[in-house]
Amino acid sequence: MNKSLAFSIGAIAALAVIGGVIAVYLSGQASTAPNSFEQGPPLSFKSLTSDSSPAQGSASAPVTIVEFGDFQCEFCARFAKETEPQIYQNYISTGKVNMVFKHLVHYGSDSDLAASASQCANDQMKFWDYYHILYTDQDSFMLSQDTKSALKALASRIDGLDAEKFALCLDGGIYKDIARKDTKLADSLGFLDTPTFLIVKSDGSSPQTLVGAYPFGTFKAILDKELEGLG
Amino acid sequence: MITKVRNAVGPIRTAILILAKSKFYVALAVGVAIVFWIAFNVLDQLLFFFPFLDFYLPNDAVPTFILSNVTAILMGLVVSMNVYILSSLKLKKISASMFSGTSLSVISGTCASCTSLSFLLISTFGGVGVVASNVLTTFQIPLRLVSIGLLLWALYSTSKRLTASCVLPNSSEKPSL
Repeated sequence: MNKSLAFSIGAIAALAVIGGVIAVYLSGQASTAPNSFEQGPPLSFKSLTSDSSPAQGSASAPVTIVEFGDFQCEFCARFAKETEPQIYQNYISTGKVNMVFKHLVHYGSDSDLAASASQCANDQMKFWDYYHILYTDQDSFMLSQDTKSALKALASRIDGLDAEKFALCLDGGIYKDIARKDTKLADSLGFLDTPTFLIVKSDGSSPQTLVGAYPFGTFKAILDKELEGLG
Repeated sequence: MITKVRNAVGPIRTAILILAKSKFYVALAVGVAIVFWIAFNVLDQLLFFFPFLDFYLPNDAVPTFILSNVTAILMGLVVSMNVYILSSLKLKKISASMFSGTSLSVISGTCASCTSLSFLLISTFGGVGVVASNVLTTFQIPLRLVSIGLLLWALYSTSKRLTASCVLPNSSEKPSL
């Protein structure tokens, strides 16, 4: 084998290794593996929602999905638009599963502000409407020079939301620390990426993680297995 | 006009001539394209291996999916042609634009704001990291177009080197493997 050929094969191998390492690295993150959170914070639906975290579905549902997300994250938006509606239709509205949202922000002050705004919407029981509006129209607040005004404008689209009350809540900074608090919880669980999903039984047992905007099929397979185990 | 068309078609014709020379180059081109196709689609969160093999193509991902397919195919062609050059011309230099095109594709393929890359950028570089993370996310498609441009340039320059050096006088010549 001459030197040129050896070099070329080496170069290709290097390229393949680079591609492979990235793929394996991210695939490894996007895995479901039972994690041991025995020493960590309690993960039952009750404890997860005790600090005014937004939730949807029946409180007595046997399985809980916890989403750790950032309103500026593109993949979180994909989940909100593509997968969450299917999960809602098939599992949440039927009382089989409930869902909790936690903020995982490491993308600057606009993420903190959007998190606060979503909590203000949650005060009026409109979090999930706002969640979909924020993710569907992400650019309108991400690219705005005045993020606060953009967030208020988006909130004004929600039927039945008291815009004045929302503005007072946002301007008053009532929830300015909630994003940091949730992010601290995510850190304690070792979550760095968004979206990250934690699927647990209602008592907080047998937690599984999914890192990434997985399609509905993957959620369906995991949820069906969990629900089947509960009889 | 005819010259322009010939210039545009030339690199593709050269690539086809090389692939026709040996199954090795076809296998190499297909192999490289597959590796990069997998890498791009994993980075774009369209292809998942765990816990189940799953692939989906949501509407918002169609433009980037098309661009990553084009990039992966170009990568296969360019790498294959460069290997042919190296084995035929005994040169030790691979087109620089091939590497820059690949790097750009991989970097732009990562949604910086959604993965640990953003955390790494921000925690390491602070405010500058936030800006870098923003740029990678906001200009994902333009960056991919630039990477395709670089790969096309690599294809053109590789083709030019092959035809200029008369490495491809006829298709019966065997590559020196």
